[in-house]
Amino acid sequence: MEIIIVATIIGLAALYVGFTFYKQFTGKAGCSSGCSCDPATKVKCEDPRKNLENLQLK
Amino acid sequence: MGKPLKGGSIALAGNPNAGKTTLFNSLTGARQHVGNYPGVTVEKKEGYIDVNGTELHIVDLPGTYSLTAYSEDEVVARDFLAESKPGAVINIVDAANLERNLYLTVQLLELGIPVCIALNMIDTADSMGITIDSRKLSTLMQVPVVPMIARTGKGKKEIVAEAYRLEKELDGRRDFHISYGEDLDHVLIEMESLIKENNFMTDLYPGRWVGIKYLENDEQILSKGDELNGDISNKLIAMVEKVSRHLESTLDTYPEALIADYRYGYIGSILKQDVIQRKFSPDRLLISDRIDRVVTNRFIGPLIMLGIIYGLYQFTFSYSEIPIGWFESFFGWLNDFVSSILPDGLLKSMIVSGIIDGVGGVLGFVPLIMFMFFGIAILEDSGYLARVAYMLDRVFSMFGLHGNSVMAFIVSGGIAGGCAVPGVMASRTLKSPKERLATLLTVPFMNCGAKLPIMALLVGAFFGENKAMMMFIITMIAWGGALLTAKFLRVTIIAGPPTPFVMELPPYRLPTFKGLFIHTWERTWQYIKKAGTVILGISILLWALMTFPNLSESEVQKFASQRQALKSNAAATVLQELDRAGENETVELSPAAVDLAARLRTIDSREGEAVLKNSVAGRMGRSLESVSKHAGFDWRTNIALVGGFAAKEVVVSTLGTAYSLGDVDPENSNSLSDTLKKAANWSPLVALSLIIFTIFYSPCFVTVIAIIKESGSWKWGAFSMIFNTTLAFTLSVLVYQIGSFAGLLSG
Repeated sequence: MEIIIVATIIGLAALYVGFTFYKQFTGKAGCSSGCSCDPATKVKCEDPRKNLENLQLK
Repeated sequence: MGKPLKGGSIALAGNPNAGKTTLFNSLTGARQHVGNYPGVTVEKKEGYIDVNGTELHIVDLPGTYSLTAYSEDEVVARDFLAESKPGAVINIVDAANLERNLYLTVQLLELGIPVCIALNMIDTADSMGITIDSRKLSTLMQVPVVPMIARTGKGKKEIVAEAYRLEKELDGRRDFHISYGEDLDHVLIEMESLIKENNFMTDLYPGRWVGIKYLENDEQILSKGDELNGDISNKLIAMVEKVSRHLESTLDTYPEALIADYRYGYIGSILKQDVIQRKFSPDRLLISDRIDRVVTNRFIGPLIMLGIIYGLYQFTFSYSEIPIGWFESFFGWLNDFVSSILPDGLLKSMIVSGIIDGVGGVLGFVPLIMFMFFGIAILEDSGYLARVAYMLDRVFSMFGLHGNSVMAFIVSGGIAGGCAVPGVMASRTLKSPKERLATLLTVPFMNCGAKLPIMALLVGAFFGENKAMMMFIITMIAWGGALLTAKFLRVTIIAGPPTPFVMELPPYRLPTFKGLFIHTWERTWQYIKKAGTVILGISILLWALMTFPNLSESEVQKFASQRQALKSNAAATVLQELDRAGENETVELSPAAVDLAARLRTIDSREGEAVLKNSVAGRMGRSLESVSKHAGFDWRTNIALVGGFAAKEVVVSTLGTAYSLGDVDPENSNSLSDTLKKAANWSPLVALSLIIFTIFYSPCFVTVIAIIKESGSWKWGAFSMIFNTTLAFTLSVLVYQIGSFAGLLSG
């Protein structure tokens, strides 16, 4: 019985952490997830259009 | 009450630090971060308000001085205004700086969006002896003008009513033309005609506005136009070149400068018609200016800044010491209580070692975090942080960074307690892509709120006599390391010329208790929430990694035999005494029973350590030990540091769990700080080495994602992980080896 409870808690923790990281990874948690997002406001973040991918390196 | 009807959208636009986010929070009930410095908002934020049963979409845009977009945050604002076509724009204007703020207003009107002006901070203007005739301004500019104080909510309803009316009544664009002089007006007519004939970007922008942007050499519009129709774009460029040559030869100027002159001329002509009355001379030094003469003085200013930072740490560590003790006592009591009611086994181990000792270690620093945030809120709300940015610009430019980088560093925890994710995003205010990249790669070196409990733990445990001074030194190390790294990057892989820095210093404001309380509580609550959610989840997973796989049957049997051997050699009366006492520590035992209990606990402890060493995490930690020992880190520390990649607070929670599982001092269930002080592998030198490593090693997972998104490339995320960890390890090895060789801080 104890092992089932412990396994369930670990499973739930893994799901929660995985889901949180997935949201952060996909940007669905907002750009400042864990830092300044607030449920009162829907924060919609856009990927910067002018990113630095074409930067010419020396 | 029925669901409100969907209405249109209203954008909040204005210069940086004009009070847009304050109004946004006040309107939507949101609690977006507001700071008394420019550039707090770098992304648009959205909320909703219900006006007469209609749900209006409110968008808070990043501050911008003009609609010619240079930096990423300005692009966000301009694109939304031009392409999303909000039903109305509330243009928040700083009443104390009317002339400069109206420059954006003119451009908003030229874009053809219905605009109403919120004349914000009218109280500040009043205190400066500035009186504004809002009715006359409204008549002359032909837009509604509402005087307001966003901070107190005065004028809030009136401005929303005006925006709502505009959104309802005015459909589409309205024409607003100002003259740019004979030469430019003439070419603008030709350009507008060509643009309209060919429907060149007219689905997005008014024709004349496109012409003006070509004259202003707006890179984004030029590139968009070239993609859309290269021929028309080239014809427009040819017209611009022709008029530019003419202007240069006749007036020794160029179109962009002339346009700015005429816009200011237009604004000046309006203000001169008794719109603005000044009680004092504009050259009069205000209180803020007088304070700045001392506070930003070239020589005294930096000393004052260092004194303030040291004072903040002194305040934080002095006042938080007693409440931290209460928290430690509480978690110690909770540990004992849960241990006494649960039977030995996996569940007890998970709750006591994984959750209470793990998450409790992080939550124990809540008072320190709260005091630190309170101090920073005072600096921020008063406007002092903006002065720090101003003073550090000179230093930053020497290291290839930009004045705007300072704010990104401070947001990331430059003084302590920020977060690198908004810090990375704050780099959007930088116009030069190379300076921006150097900034976003170095801001993770700052001491964010997640690193703070690690620093507090190690400083408290090993440098208890000089906590504030040690924290001050840590801050200086972080800044020094970040600047030197920036310099290295700027002379090697991201070399490029520096760009000039212009910053508007906000006036000093006396922080309100409400504002300080909200800022302090929100940040502290974020810390508690993170500890109770993600950190809790990670702590449980790390506990599992530190517990499984269990020891083999033969090893378990070995420890059982040792226990049995001890018990068989003990007298029957001693065993009965121990059985009767059970877990109750208040029962007085005979010396023989005390000795037996201690020996049995030592075997339990050895078994715990063996389980931990045999676990997945233990094996990983031990496999790294052959390398990490050069920096003074044992296998337990390695587990904590690997866990810290998920979130830096996890370093503390993992150390808590690791030392709880393989209890090194079975006689005591003390705080983690006391446990580390007593542990054989620890010394002040190891703590210093770990502090250095923590400052510089790989940013946490979320920050790496932010770096990838902001730089637009996976390689910069990978670079920050590999480069930072290599740098951190090199510095830690140097500190530990030199310290060991010289016999410094060996405990």
